[in-house]
Amino acid sequence: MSRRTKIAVIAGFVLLAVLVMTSLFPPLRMASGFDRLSTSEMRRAERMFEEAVASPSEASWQQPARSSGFQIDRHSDFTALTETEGDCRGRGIYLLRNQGASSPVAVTAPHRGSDRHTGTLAEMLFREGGLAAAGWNSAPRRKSAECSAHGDLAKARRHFFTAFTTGFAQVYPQGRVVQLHGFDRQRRSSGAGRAADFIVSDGTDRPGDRLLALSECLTFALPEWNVRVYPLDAAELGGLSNVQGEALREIGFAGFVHVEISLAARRALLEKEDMRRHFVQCLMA
Amino acid sequence: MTLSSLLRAICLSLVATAAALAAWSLSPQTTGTAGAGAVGPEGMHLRSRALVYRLDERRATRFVFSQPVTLARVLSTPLIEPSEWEAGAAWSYGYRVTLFDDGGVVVGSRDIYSTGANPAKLERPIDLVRYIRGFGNSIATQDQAVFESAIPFTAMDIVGLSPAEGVAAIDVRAYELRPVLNDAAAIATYRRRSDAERRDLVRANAFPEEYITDMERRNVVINQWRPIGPSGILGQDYDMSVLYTGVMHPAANDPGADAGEQ
Repeated sequence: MSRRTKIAVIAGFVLLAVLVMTSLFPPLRMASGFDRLSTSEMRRAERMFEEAVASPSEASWQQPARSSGFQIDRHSDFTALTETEGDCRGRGIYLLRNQGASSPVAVTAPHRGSDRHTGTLAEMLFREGGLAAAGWNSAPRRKSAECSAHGDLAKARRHFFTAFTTGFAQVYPQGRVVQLHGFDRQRRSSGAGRAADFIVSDGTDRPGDRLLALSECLTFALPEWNVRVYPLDAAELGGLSNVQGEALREIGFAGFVHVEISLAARRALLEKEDMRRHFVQCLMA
Repeated sequence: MTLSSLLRAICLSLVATAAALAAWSLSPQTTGTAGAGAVGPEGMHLRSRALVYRLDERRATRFVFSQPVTLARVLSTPLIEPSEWEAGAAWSYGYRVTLFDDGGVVVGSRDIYSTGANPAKLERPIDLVRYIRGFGNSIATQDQAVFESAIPFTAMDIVGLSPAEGVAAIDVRAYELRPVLNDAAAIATYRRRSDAERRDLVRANAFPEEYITDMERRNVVINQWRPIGPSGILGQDYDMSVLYTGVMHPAANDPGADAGEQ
């Protein structure tokens, strides 16, 4: 073997080693404080949520849910899956409509707390719109003294939150999974981003007809707010790397919606019942 | 098998595993490009969208300007009956524009007649598709009319004139010049834009953005058209839809698709 070939082989190995290390050890900013579910745990969680969404009153899913660390509270019109007091492992909080959901829509907020008002908004839309399900994070996005877990649910593939969305999609294949996010207009790099109030995306750079229908509905229903569609009229915040969107597309579900909302629009949605009604009607259409 | 060949086999296995891991982590699946399917006509790649207002022959659509103006611009787009789209190449249509001053007095009225063509049947065909959900993509090339009046006007009524055979409807967009107080304000407005926006604003200039003068920057800002919407209640006073523009072959024809149809 010549000297040049040896150098080439060593360089190749170094490059491969870097690639392996990069894929095995992601950057610290992507580090997550959640317990990752194993493949089999993930499958069980998906099955559990599928059964829970389909029939919240059935007992079959409740034992697996309890053994996964969830506390189940049954209310008059919905069932809540929460973590027990003091056990902050970041499993998430989930509300399931007991019966008679007016629309097969799940509204979620993976960054409640850091994306201000999105959790409250998800809860209000679930309650007022009679939606089938809702879900949000139970642990903060960044490390804190109050909770042992932390992390970004939208990047946590093997997590109950992902299992909840895919389980929901299995029950309602024609339904919609809406993810609410908040953005700071001042921190946007483009004029379109700075001027936007809502940026809607289906997590791809080829928006499907259902997303266009939703964006048209929002544009017409909220004329005083600037509704943008990724990537047609805003080239950022499209949620392309969102793992729930990715998982839903993999199972052939076309109803994923990633909605980025400016702070002004979030505040207005909280304050104005009319605006919330228009917003939720578009999600349900 | 000798020890050295065993080592080589282990090394090759490691290489294969590493390559598989790298390919998996860099696969396009994670970037969200696995789209949920094409939109509209098969194979169409959407590029932009805009609100358009459907003209009525019996009811005028009223546009109100943010201040008295002497210039206004209307872009019109004829929607062609799908059954006529392949048979014809161009279609005539018209609309009437009436300008009003702030007292409601008519300061001018013009009838505009125009022709829209199938972009694929132009002498130099352009790869451009327009699409409206619920209607389809039999939408002809758009036309522009600029209205000027010595007397400032504050409102503009547009009513559709009886279209020629084959024209299903006429959609329009209206624009006013962006109001700018003075030269300093114009230059300040320009400088507050991001680098990308500034480059976009001066893309028609022969020189790069950093070489153009303040006077040219001012001119760019004061000559910017801003879309305006109609007054009244949607469905009662005006009808609205979203017009999507795209191409069928994005690699062959990307920027300036609209430039071919002035």
